[in-house]
Amino acid sequence: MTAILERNETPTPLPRPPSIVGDFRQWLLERGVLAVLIGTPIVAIIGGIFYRVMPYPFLLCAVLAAFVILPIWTTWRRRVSTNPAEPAHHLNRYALWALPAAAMFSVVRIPLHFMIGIIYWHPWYDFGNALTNTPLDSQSTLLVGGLLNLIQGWAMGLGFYILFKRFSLMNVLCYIAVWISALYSYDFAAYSRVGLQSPPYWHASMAWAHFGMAITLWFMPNVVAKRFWPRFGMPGRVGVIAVGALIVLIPSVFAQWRAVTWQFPKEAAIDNAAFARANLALVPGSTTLVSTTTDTRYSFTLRMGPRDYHNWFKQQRSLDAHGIEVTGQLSRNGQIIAWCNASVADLPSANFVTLPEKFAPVMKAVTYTNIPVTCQGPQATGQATTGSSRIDVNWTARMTLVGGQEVRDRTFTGQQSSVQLNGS
Amino acid sequence: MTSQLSVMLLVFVVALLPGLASRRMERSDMLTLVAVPIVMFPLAVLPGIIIWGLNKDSATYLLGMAIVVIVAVLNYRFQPKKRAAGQAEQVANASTVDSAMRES
Repeated sequence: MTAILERNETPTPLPRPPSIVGDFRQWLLERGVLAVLIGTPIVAIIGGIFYRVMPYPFLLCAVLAAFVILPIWTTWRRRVSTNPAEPAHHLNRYALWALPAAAMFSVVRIPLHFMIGIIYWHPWYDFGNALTNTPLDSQSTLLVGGLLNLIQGWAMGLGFYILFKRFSLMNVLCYIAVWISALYSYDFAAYSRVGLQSPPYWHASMAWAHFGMAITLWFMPNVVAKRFWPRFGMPGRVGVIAVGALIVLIPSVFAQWRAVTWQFPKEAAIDNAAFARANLALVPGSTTLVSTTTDTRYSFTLRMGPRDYHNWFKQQRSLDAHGIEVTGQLSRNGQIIAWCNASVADLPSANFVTLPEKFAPVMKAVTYTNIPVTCQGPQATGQATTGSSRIDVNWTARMTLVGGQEVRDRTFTGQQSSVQLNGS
Repeated sequence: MTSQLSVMLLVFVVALLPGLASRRMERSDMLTLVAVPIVMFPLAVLPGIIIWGLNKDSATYLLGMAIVVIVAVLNYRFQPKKRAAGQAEQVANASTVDSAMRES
């Protein structure tokens, strides 16, 4: 009672004790919500293309919703915020600074393309295809994918400016060059690089790209905005904007140029080599007399392969084939004893595998693919067949071969003489 | 696994070296650097480790996470002129840039 009276008599407010909940709430309002809204393009790519929890276009609805909410949230925070350092007050310039940093992620890998064959734009086809469903390896897909890639990098850079109070080199290098690199090393290798090796130099090249991005994220506020911009007159500022715009455009322009002048011709040559390499042969010991009831039925198996090849960015792929039509004859002593046919819509493919871990066994299984062929002939010819019968087999197979870019109709013909007939 | 981890350890250490030139770090920055990699681990990496086991790529994530957490804590603990310089620089950060942009 005394204590209560004393407290009532002395109403001096005590200093507010540090509250973890209060601090977290403040952080959430000032930075957390903004970071989540800005991070939705990255969540969409990771969730839709890597983890495949939902189709990418569906997740883009979340991105659209976030970018509708963003101006409303920012306007409200600017109105109620008493903290001048709150990111909502500076979002426009952060957004501007993050653009060249996003592009620099690709720009710094251009020298690596010529030095060690790093191709930074090949995931762009997957991004573009996931959104527009346009064919892989088309320039329009590359254009859309490049834009999506830029948006992801931009969201990542903007996320840094939102999450961190101080834009020091140590902060940006820890966050972008080390942590994002480590996450990238895991996510791409585990969920995206189907049929691709991920050697240490690939991981190092990713870290180099993030390092370039991190340095640009530091450079923009600390050098361009603080030092260059206030000192420059109109021509200097126009120059700064022009250089920034050039950096933003370079990755996409370079990728389009290399796609036309290097990638597509190389891809066509690889496809044509794979078309020429594939063969269709009779599986030894597969020619069998199946039944001699109302008519005589035989079977044999053709094996197509090898179907594995490495495409223009060294990804292992299977050579696909559609619309396979096989015709043939079995003959003995120059006389046809049965007519054969087979029809297969599509050969099994490893190209639809979406997880790197599952790719190798599927690729191994489809490198050589069996095509069963059935034959039918008059009953009399079957009854005349003895255990030591040897027959001649010939076949013609027409199919459409599908490479990474090229498509070709091809006819395989073959003949095998004096084949041992099983089951006779 | 060892060769990749060795290469990435070297790469991460070299990448952090320029950071010694600009080490300012607020308490919330340090907490972000500690929390984000740790929170993302069960969301982004652990499911893969449960399904496919620990491999060179998940080990690379763990390496990066460990480096970021250790460097963030040490840098925050031992940064020079932590409080006063930090607050002054932060005010300058916002006001200089604001005025620069307004001038344009």
